[in-house]
Amino acid sequence: MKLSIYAKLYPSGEDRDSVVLFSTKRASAVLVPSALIKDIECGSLSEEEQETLFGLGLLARSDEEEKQEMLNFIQELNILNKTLIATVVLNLDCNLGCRYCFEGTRKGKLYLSDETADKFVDFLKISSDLSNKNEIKITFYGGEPLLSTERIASISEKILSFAGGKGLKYSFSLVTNGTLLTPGVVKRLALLGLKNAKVTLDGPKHIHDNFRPFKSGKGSFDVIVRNIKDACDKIHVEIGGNYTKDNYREFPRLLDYLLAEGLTPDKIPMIRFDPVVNENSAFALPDFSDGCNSSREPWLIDASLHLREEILKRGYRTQKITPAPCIVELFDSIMMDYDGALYKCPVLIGRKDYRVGDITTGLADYRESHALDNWKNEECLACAYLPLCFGGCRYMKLLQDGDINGINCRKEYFDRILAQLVSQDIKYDL
Amino acid sequence: MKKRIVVLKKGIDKAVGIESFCCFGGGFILAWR
Repeated sequence: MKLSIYAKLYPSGEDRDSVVLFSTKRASAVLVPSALIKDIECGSLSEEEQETLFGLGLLARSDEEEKQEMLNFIQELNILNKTLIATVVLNLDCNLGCRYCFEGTRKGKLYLSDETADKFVDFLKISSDLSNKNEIKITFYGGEPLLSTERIASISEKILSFAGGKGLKYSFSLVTNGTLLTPGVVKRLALLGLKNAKVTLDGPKHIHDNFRPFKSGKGSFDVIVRNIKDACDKIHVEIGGNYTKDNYREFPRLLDYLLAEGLTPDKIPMIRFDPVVNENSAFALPDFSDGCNSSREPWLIDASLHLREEILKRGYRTQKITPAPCIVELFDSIMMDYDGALYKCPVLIGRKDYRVGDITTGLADYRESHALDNWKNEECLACAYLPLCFGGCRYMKLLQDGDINGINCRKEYFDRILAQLVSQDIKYDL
Repeated sequence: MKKRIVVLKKGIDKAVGIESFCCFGGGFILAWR
């Protein structure tokens, strides 16, 4: 037995003679005396110790066996997956006039048609392979999906009409600005399978209202918070926020406000803050350039660790460190634009070069265009961060280099941040 | 003999699979399990 390629060794922070061993492929961690590491190298661990560490993915029989395990990893996950996942862009319209917007200049009065909606339901029912699935999960996306509430209801009713007969559960979630998530809408959609809504609050009121006003210019913060209060005991409401280099230090004040308003950790299951990313494509809004372009920007490390600590120390949960392959690797996951075009990643939606078919003709072979095996090389396989990275984010690669071929290496980023992320995960029992 | 290994995090059970796929550089996660 030897130390896993995918194990990282960090100082314990408590005493000099102990170290933390963390497995990137299992997200497991142990505290051991430094002498035990030498015993691994000498092959002098007890049988019980070997068994414990092997079971946690921290020991391996050989490098070759472990690399082969990683080469099979995604395929195994695809076999284990029993859920058909679809993301549906219902429209590219919005009632807010945010200073930044991921949809950028693509926005407009563009809505999913009756015909495309029916074809989508047929696609789920007939074209997709449901034989080994037990669940359909849809994320309704936009634009603002709740400008299409009737469409959400009609699609859900149609899916529910066949799902039960095939032994399939059905549920859906919303990525919404929260302004239209009213009690009436929640009550109605919850009966049709709404389980989860991801709502955006960009920091405390004065920042949020500056970044995410209604088109009239009026602030949206108070309306959204009121809706969250009404919805959070009926569905899971996750709060996300998008920060910039200049305003992230203000975000903890939002957390204090939420606590003071009774939106406590038992009511809000997940909070996460992420940087606004600049677009460099034709879709970018011309007047916004405060976002970041790469995970390599030095301030991002401080910002993400600081905000994560602020979230966790108030008792909220946030995303934990765990293996996370890119969504394009999941076979039974599809994204559909409002016009019926199919994509494999939400942030590639609308980029014609990355279209992988349409709802009438079905999926084309996207393995080459999406660089599916980009991480299957000796350098990545020998990298301790492979299970957390799998070649990185295709969208970030596209932003940086203009195409998604090759890898978006995150080694430098993990070298600088992972020890502290692991320490937070342990401290707060994530 | 005193146990030398303190388990701080059990991590994921390989047989069950992972919990999320990564979208948008980690900024947009679709819960899978």
